[in-house]
Amino acid sequence: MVNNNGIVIDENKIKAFRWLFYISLFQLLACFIVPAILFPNQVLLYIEILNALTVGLLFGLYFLGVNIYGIFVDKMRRPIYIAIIIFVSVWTIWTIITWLYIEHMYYLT
Amino acid sequence: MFKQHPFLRALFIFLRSWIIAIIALLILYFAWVREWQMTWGATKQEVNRHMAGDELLEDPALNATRAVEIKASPEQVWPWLVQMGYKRAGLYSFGGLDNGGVPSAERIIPEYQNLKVGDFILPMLKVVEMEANKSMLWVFQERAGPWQNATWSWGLYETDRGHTRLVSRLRQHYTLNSFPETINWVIVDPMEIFMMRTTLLGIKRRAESN
Repeated sequence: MVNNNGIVIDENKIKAFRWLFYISLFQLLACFIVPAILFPNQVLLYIEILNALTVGLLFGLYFLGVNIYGIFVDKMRRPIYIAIIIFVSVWTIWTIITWLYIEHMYYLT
Repeated sequence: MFKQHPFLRALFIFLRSWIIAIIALLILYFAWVREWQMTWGATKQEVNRHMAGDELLEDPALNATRAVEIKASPEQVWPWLVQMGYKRAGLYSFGGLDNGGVPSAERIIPEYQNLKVGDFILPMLKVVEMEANKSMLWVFQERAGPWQNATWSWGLYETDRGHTRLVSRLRQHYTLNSFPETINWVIVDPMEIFMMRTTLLGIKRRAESN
């Protein structure tokens, strides 16, 4: 397919990318939803915070990579991808600060 | 075939990228991260030094020696150690998880100071040896599953400046012969540092602030 500016767009590639985006988003959401089903309320907040500091962050970073890829592949949705990149970057910075000063994080310890 | 179906193409990219990521993470972990995290904060001398319980478990798969320097004497650090435990003062890591939802204690609790050999720190973690202000050994009991017979040893060493080097050594023997042991390895080997480091820093902050 060729757009108005004469640039060739691989429509199938964009569709595939969007599926990749949804699969990665599902993976990230499942990472936080599954503990909510498995663990009792008393410990759930701690589990979710630990999740956000460890495994959840790993999935978050994967999702970050997908969104960075999306900026180049799916230009129509760039604002969404940029917003997600900013969000995951802030999340990552929070994680680094938390692990550096964990003993002072009273809400955790 | 994959290129004709966007969903299959996406799934293929997803799985392929995860396989690459997992291989890269494993290489990174075993080449650099594991050795660093297994000896976090400890000197070579502390890593090589004999500690209580070493003789109970030969050639453990997990042999982690971590340490912090605390600006307090061993006598000031010891009360924080002996009151540790589930439904006691906590483990000073993540109170919500290791102490039944209750944050770890921020003060020395007199009623938890009379710990003795045979007492339990966690339901399956027993005090086996202790020498006041110097060392303590905890051993996981039979019902601890993959943790059975694992040892957790503490050593307090006074420095020239009157500070304390608090050393923790965790030793566990496991194989990858069964699914529970494999899951245990995947979770414990790279993850227990997060709790152990928090525990050590938690003791340090408490002992120094008192």
